[in-house]
Amino acid sequence: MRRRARGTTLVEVMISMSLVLAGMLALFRVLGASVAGSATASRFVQAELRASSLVETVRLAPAATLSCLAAHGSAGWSACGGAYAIASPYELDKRSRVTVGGKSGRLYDVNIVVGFTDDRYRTVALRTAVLK
Amino acid sequence: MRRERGFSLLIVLMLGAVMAGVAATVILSTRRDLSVAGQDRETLQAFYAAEYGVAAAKDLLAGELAASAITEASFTSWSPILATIVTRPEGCATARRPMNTLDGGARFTFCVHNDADDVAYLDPSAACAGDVCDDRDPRHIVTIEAWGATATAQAHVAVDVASPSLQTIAWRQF
Repeated sequence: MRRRARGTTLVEVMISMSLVLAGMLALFRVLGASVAGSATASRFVQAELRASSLVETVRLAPAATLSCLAAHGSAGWSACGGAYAIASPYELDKRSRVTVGGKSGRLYDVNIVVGFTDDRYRTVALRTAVLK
Repeated sequence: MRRERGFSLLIVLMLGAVMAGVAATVILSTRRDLSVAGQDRETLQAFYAAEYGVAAAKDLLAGELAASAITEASFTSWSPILATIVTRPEGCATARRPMNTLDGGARFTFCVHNDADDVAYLDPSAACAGDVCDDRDPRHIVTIEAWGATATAQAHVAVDVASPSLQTIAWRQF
């Protein structure tokens, strides 16, 4: 009688441990995904702040600087001033551009795209215009 | 002895329930973080889209001024200050212009008008004669309203017809 009781307990404990193990593995996966998701959300906010800051800098720039930005691709914006760069680990996406046009010929279309990489490459794009 | 059977299974089930609760809380918290970040981004895009509308409207006015399409004669009365525009799709009196779509799905539209209420907004005590509220400042004021998907910008622009120029004298966003 004692032996049968011990055997039952051992099987029960093994089943229990396997269930707990499976549950903990699932929980760790969820926690891992959660940490990654929170980090992505934080990076999005940071990228958004950097993009917004750069848009405001461009909006306040004099017409000559805007013309310089329009004449260069985003990779060459540092030639127009040190304020038109994004610090690592964020980067100014090559789709960023300033174009001039409009009916008056003084409408600057400002498109700022800030990119970052976590599990994949992500971007935050802000677009506005300024008349000089 | 019989009463102890299944005891560890009960413990495991309780542990499982606690872990499921923790997992659900973590998932909901993460989803909320991502959702808030997304909403902030959409609001900011709408803000700048509305700004795009203001700039586009000012460009329209500047283009009209440069082409001398708006003359001093157009400003003989408060309404219509922009006689050449209000009857077009750019005028607020007409049906709202269709939304323009920018990269990333942000959208904007705008219109131009000369509602007397906006003068009261600028200076509630102003004694206005027509669209000119200060004899020492002969500039005329028009109002640009622009909408992003979830944000609105409004700019009051002084138009100097004699020496064609535009100056934003008040601006707000809501």
